Amino acid sequence: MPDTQALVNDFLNKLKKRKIEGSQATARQTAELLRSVISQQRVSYTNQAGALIDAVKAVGEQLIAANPVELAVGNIVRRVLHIIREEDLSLTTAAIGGLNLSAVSDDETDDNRDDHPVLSAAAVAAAARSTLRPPSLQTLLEDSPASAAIPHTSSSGGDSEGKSKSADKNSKTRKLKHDVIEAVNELIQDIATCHEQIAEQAVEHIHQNEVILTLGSSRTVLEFLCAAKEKKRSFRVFVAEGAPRYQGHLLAKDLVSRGLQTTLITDSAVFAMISRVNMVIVGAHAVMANGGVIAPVGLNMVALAAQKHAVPFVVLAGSHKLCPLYPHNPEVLLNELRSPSELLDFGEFSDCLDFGSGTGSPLLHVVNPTFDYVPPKLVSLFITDTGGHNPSYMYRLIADYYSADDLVVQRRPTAGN
Amino acid sequence: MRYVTRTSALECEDFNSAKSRLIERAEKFGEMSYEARRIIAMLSQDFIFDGCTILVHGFSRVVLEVLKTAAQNKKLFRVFCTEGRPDRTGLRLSNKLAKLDVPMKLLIDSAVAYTMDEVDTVFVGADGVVESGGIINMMGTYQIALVAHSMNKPVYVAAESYKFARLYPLDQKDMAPALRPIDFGVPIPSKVEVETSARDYTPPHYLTLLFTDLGVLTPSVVSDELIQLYL
Repeated sequence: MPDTQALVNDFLNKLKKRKIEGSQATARQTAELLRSVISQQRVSYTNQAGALIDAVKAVGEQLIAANPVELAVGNIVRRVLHIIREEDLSLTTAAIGGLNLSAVSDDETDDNRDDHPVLSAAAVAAAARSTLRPPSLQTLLEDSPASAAIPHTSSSGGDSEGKSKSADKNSKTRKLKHDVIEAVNELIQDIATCHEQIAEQAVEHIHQNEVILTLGSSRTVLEFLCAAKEKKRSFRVFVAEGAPRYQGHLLAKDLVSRGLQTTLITDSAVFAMISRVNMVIVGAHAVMANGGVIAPVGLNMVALAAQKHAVPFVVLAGSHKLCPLYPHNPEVLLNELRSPSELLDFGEFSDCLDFGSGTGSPLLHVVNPTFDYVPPKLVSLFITDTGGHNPSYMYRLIADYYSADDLVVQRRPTAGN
Repeated sequence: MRYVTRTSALECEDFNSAKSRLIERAEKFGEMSYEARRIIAMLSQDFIFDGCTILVHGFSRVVLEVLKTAAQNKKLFRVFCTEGRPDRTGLRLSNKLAKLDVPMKLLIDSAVAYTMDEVDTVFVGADGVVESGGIINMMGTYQIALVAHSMNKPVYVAAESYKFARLYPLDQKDMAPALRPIDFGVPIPSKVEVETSARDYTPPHYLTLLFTDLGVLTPSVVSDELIQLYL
């Protein structure tokens, strides 16, 4: 345990000092950290999954508190929790499938007899509760005894019944940990390859002689545009520079080095140019459950300009950016103010920023927010590693990736901080 | 209530057992709906922030529970409450809220647009949530949602999941209207027709989010959840 604690502290420090740039790097490092936490966690005989979940949760809460704005951390923590639950569930259903099966079928016949004429409120509520509490998989299994029977028979074939109970459990727990680590590895792999997965879809969206507009720099966008270029599409890219960090300059440089026709414009020229644009393609910081986007500052303006001219506004986002929370007051709560030094040269403006003069507070204030919130109605399409989706479809992806349990449990500590 | 009676599949054994079964069902249902309201109140807390003004329309136990929980959490907020003609549901709600020491203001139903610029969020309950993600609620909800939409204010609906109904109303007159007598205070000539519908339908387009015991949902999620409930 001591060395994981050191790792955790190190990572916490980095998060607090905002040393990690970009949600992908954060997501990958979070997943790697949680993997080592899981592998270091001592194996207890009973309630293995519970112990793992508690361990991950304890670390996860610290991580989320360290940088509540970096939603990718929370996302990955929830994904890992979900993985543990799923693996545990598949193992328990396999192990005690027989018992469960009879109990479930009893319940079912009971219910069926009750709500013969019309669907009963009790049944509705039962369904509601089961969708609320356990992951969707369990309800699926409960609903179809046939599918539960399959793992049962296969597992009974594997474990001979003569074995002692503890040995059986031990193998089960070890298998759980192994499976979980395997699944987390897969998750890390997914995060690493999400660029390619998204870029693969580029040719479907970018057509010959189109004009694409983007703002700032995003690795996903770069890969996406280059993938289309590699497939022999010729098109032109307008890059808005993305003040005050001017990452658009870097993107323009990268695009030119890959042989793409590029035009660099200022952020304030977006509206002037948008009428010539066929499609806006941008990256995101995070995607919320209602389909809203937390994006680099300036994108809301671009989205509004795009809407005014009916230009499709496409957001590229890897699945690690999908956040299961609903934003409330996102412009303030999910934002971060960066140093004014990005805007001004302190030497030149030192007079205006002098705290000593007059009232004790400087007359000049500099506000440098990092993010914008783009409401879902301004987004035409999300392209994730699983394909293109409507903003209103985001909740479905979220239901696939996260279990409902973790949303509520995790949200409390975040809200408290 | 119709759910309680509808469920029990009284297979005519004898009256007493049927009766006890009904009562049992009803109690279970009451418990369930109480639990649901608690969950909804918990979920919606994040959306009530200090210093906000909330407009409510009609008497809804869920909305009451939401506001009660917010008050217990020491949030500072103001509530605007419509009168809720003709059965004065707003007065009932304001009585209850006044007991909780929440700052209240009563409005006549026609003052909604007038006060909307002071309002931060609109909270309504629902009599039913339909498949499109829209809601059926007390008369006047539709126009409040329209006003809120045009002024860019979020409209939140608090509804338990048992209110999900498998209907798809295409317009206001699509459902059999529930009628309700209206007292105008003065005699109305017999030749004059009176609109007595008690409820209207608010299309999903005008709603921001629904708080249910299944979680916070966007209107477009409702049809999906409905299919799962009725599977």
